[in-house]
Amino acid sequence: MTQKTDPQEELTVDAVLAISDPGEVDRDQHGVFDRLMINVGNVVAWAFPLLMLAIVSQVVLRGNGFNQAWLDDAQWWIYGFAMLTAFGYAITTSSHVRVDIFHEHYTPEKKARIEVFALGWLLMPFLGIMFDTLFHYAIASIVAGEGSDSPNGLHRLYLLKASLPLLFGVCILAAYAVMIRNLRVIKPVNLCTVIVGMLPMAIFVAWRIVVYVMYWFVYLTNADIKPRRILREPMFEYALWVAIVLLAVLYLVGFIRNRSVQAKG
Amino acid sequence: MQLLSLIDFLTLNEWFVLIIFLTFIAMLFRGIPVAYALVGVSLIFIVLAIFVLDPNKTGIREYIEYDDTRISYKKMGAAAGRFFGGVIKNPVLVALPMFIFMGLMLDQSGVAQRMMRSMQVLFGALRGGLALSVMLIGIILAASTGVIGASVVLLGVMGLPAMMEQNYSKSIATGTIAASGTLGILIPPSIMLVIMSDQLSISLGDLFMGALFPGLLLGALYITFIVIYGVLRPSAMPVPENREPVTGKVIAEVALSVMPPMALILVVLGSIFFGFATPTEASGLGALGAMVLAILNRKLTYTVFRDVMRQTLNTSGYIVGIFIAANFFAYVLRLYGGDETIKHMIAGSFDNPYMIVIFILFIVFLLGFLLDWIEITLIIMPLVLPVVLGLDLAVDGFGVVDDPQIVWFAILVAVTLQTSFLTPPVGFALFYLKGVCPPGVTLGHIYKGVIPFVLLQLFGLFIVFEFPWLVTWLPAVAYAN
Repeated sequence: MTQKTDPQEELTVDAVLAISDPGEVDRDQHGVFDRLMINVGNVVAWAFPLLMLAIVSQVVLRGNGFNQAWLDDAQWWIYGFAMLTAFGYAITTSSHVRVDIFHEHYTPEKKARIEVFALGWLLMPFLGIMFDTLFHYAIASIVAGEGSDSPNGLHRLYLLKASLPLLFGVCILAAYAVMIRNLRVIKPVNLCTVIVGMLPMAIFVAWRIVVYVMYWFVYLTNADIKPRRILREPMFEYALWVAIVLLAVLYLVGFIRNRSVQAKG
Repeated sequence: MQLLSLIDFLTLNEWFVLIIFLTFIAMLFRGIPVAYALVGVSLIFIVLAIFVLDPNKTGIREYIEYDDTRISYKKMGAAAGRFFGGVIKNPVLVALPMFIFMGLMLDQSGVAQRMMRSMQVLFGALRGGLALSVMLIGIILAASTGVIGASVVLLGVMGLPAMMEQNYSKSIATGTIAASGTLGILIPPSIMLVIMSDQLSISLGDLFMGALFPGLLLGALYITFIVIYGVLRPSAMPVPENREPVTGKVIAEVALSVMPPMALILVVLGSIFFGFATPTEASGLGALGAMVLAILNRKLTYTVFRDVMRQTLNTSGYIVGIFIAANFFAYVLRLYGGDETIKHMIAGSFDNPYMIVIFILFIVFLLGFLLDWIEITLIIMPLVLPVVLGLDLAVDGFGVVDDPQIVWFAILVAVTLQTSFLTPPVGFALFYLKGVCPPGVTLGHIYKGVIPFVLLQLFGLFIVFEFPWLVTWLPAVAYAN
């Protein structure tokens, strides 16, 4: 949870207090999505001085009798946007807190296996669910043209709400990239190992894709059906099975491809 | 069906609440990050409810009591609203990144080194002077770091070499450092109190003001102990032979070095006390103040500024990660009936309401061995809140403080956690300190050294427990006008 101090290193006050850029650690191992997350983070990091500025100006203005309600809203807008970015940033830098009494004695392979499981099986499906539900949440907000609670507040709240699924999307890419980095330690990275490495996420994504394809199919072919009735069509009960079959086919494709690559090599 | 009669003293829901927590703990011990484990456990039990439990509810009910969870994917839509309302639209938590920024900036401003240098000269001539310097710096810098690991490590590298050089007893030296390092989570402005105020739905101002006297009380207890110990056992804290004379210049230098951080704390707490700014806004003023200090000390370069921003992002990230995950976990736990189960379990444990408080504190104390305050405040506090709210406790809010018993309870939890982090054999602070100790200082020295401080902590806890007005009086005065 804090930086491990290397016992060999000279421990001085300055060394302990020295600050570094967390996004530069292990940079040589970063892939495209890692860099994407870090760069988004580096831009959003400017939100903190901005937030400070917003707070200080509000205190000064209000003290002089010019209360700006929109500045109150702006504060938690900036905070909320920055926090969700921070969440993804900490995924890429592997800073999320863990209990390391046993973990620190594990071999690198075991650590990597735990990381793949933690990311692909536990975290990514959650990110997927949040992406999907927040997407609908944002659409509802946009359709309603949602504004602020206060008459002089920041309106266009739907802009903030629409940014949330986007940020979760970036988080998914970040988690995927870290998962792949760890997968590489234990197994060669190919379609099959990636599917197994993030099986619950893969099933979830396949299921949602099947559901959305079915939805639009019904919507476009059935002119007189009411949108909210569509999901009650009997075919949706089979969506999950269709998704699993599709995934199995994909796995098979990957398997055959591995075989042919091996045969050639 | 013999077997089933053995397990039906709990309902199936209660069994699952137990299993959910056990699974979570098992994942933690494997080294899975807390946030991932929380969401992972939730997902496993969502899948279990949707595919196994709920479809078979009638069959299950023949054997054991079971309330179906009614979890469905559609219901997960509520998770989006909970996420937005709990994590994003949360004006109180705006203080969190600002205080983190302030702490990191203060570390960079060089005030700590300057204070240590000047105090060493002034107190060096005094018996136990070095220990007192470390203690005072710990109390003043408590404002800067809410993360105990960071303050213990900082005080360790700053104070320990000097104390060893002066032939301090190893145990008293390490004990002093560990104890003063943990004060940071209690003394405002502490990040932990920010999160507690959110989780317990109490005013952050009340909590900051409430924590001030207990924090100072503990500081005073520590200082008294060191002074008395120095008199009784002079050999444990020898006075250096070639000491510099204390001149007016030395005193002036100490004053000059202590003033800036003191001024910063005054800005933050004073603006809250006098109602000039909300606690959230005080965090922004504090962040600006820390930046001004760094500029005055000529320490603020573009690289430092950039890295402070990025570290703020990173630190906020892992704290908010547990926030997001605990928010989701609490939702799933509630669908399983978990909060009711836990409420009954704790509320039914004792008849005396004060015994229930002690019972909860004891659990928090034990959890403190395993988990940091972030997890404990975010997972445990919301679960015990309804219990404490329902207790009949005589805590006087002087007609001003809302929910005085919750404010009091929050401070008790903070002191308990602090004690837990100090307690051998597994307290967090001890291991952080061991990490920066020079060779020759063993864990045994540290264990021996913290024991008197653990006892002082328990004494402080007892006093706060016995005299709740220590907590509620200051907020009542602050908000009376």
